[in-house]
Amino acid sequence: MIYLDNAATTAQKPPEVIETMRTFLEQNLQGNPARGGHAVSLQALAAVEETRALTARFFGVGDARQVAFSFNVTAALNAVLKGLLKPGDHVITTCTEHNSVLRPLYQLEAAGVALDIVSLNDAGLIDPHELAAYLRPETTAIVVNAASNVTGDALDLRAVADICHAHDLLLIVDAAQAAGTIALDMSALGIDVLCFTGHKSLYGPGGTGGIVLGDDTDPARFRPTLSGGSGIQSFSRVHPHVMPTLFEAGTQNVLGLVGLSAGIRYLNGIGMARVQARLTHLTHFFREHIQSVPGVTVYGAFDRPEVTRAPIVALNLGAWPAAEISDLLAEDYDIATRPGAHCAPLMHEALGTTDQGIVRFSFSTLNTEAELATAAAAVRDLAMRL
Amino acid sequence: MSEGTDRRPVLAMPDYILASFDSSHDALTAEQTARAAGFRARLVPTPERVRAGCGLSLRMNPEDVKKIDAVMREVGIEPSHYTLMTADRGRRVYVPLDLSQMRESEEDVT
Repeated sequence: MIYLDNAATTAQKPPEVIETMRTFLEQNLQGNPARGGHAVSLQALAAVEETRALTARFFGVGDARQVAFSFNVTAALNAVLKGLLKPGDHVITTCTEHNSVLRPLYQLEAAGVALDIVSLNDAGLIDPHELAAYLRPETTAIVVNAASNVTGDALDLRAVADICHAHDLLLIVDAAQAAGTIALDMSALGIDVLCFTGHKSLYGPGGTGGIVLGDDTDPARFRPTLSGGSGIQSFSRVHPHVMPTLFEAGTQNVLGLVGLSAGIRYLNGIGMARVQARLTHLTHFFREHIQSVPGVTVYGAFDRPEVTRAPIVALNLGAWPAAEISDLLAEDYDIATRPGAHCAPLMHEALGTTDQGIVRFSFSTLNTEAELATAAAAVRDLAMRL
Repeated sequence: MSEGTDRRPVLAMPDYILASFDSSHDALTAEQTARAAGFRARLVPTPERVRAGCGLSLRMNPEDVKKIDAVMREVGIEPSHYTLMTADRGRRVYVPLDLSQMRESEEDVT
């Protein structure tokens, strides 16, 4: 199979991720961190804290305690949004968001938080300056993705951060598609809160993710949305309000975090600048190979070289349902893609694809030009057969 | 690449039926049940226009739909709806099927 559904999850992991997790299990190192003073518990704690330090450095944060782990980016976004926003607050987001942002915000809206959603401009992009048009005195935060999970188009986060900081707002970033595909230095970009998942382009296993607060982001602004065992302050009736415990309750996914650390090390070994360049190359390589396919529509701002992108090519063939195109690619050509709405309903409304869906091809560092050439030939072949 | 003379035959578009569900759990159970009963059926992505709750639907041959519906209901799986997927001049056409009518006619037969 040629696996081109990496925006859903990277099914192929680097060998060092597999080996690191296997060794950790085989050596019986998976103790319960911060729950005992014996060697196995302490080794597990050291493994989790090493992942925390690696994660902080990866996102340009100096204090590792500003990193809290969760089980995926959805859990992270829920914890941040529901821990921050309260009735009377106002929040601004965009139509390009995934349901992991939209649904928590709709829940909060029902509870009295005011919500504005910015639309695409004529170029099919989010104009950061349009976000500013929705500012109110009670605006608390702007929540945006770093890159669309439908088109791969990235947002100019620095421009959004400038708006946020000029008005004392928090910039909360959903980095599901950008973490590990686009270099994200939170300090340089001015990101106050970043939520990530480990199983996509950070090459970790499922069940990993987290919240990264910027070095200047005050954890006191957030309420814990989970409470329970923490390994600290056990006689307190309330969950500790200190990072990282603020967002962590119960036993950590130690084995998963060990795998995540190996994934981040894999990326560090290549260097994020080279990773991003490689993925950008693969994306344009595929797009160039399919752009002349009869009846193809490619979504996203490929005609704007200034737009950074996650490694995604989203397309349709004629008016054919994306679900059937994806099924034919899987059945007849052994190529894995993702059709449908991609949990981004407003983006599909904006693109006019609610009835058709979109076929999404998404790439990882482990894909090759040969694979993408084969996939592009399959798209062409399919278009000729339809 | 298959450009030029190496063009493959035009895609055959046989009619088929999609059973759609409210959850992925039901979709997978339905596939396992249908296959265990000897039917050729498989999970496919649900087209957007079907508007089902679950992103996976069970694809089956039209002649098997009543029998597969019966074996699914035996294990407590009830599709939210059925859609006949047919084609007209190279475009996909969706025909919702009336479940109750279909089952009544099945009961008449049996």
